[in-house]
Amino acid sequence: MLSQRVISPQFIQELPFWRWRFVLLGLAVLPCLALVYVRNPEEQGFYPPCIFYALTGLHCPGCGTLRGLHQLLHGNLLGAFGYNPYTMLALPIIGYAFLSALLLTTCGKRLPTVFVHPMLIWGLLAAVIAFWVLRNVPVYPFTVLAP
Amino acid sequence: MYCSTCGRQVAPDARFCDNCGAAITDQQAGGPQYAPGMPYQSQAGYGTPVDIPNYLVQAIIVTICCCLPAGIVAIVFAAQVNGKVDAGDYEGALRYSRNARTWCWVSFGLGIAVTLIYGAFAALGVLSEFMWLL
Repeated sequence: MLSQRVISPQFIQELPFWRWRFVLLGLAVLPCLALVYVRNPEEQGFYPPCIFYALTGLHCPGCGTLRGLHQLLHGNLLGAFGYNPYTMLALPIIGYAFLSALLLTTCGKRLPTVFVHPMLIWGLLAAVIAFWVLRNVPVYPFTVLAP
Repeated sequence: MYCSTCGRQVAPDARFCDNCGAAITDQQAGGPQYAPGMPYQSQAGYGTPVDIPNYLVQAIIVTICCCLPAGIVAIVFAAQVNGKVDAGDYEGALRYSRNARTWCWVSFGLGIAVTLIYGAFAALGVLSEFMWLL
């Protein structure tokens, strides 16, 4: 599951920075996080809206990610979960995947990989779709899931 | 020097294949045992089932960031990769792995394209406010 292989055309792999691509990716993400820390996504008009929300008026599984990240960067873990629990649960997994890809491509160190049983991935798919539907139900217990 | 697992050319001092992550040993330095384009041979290929990428993490990221159904499709393929690996069908797993990769890029590309189109419309909207100046 967490094994990271990037298969790309040969000429890209021969570029000198190819070995440091995940370092560059990390360096590119840092200013974005700084921006999300400084500018609150709660205020309108600065960040582009979610396309799905703009088109349908319904929340997608990713809606609330920016606002949640803003709360998380300010140390408000509970507020972050309130905006988007799916993203917050996925963040440690994404972080570990990034770290293992970084170590593998720069110094050849392999972090332990996990084989996820296919039923678990089908379960994740069902959970994401259920989350997508339920957070749009405007009745009390489900409104907690809305951003 | 070539990786014996996937056939990709690797740097002479490489200890691990940049493409598939397999360990490179000196006895493999002679030449390509498995060149690109040759049919995939499972007995010579991936040593452990986890070496076949299922792109699950990428699928999760595009589902969160691009809000598009293509991310859901990528999760479906990720599940099928691990399903095939579980059943011992590594050729099938590789096929689904390539599909998962394609759908991650489709989702990513659609997300970027739609955001750019939105940005263009937003810029036009801003411009139209200054039309009276012309």
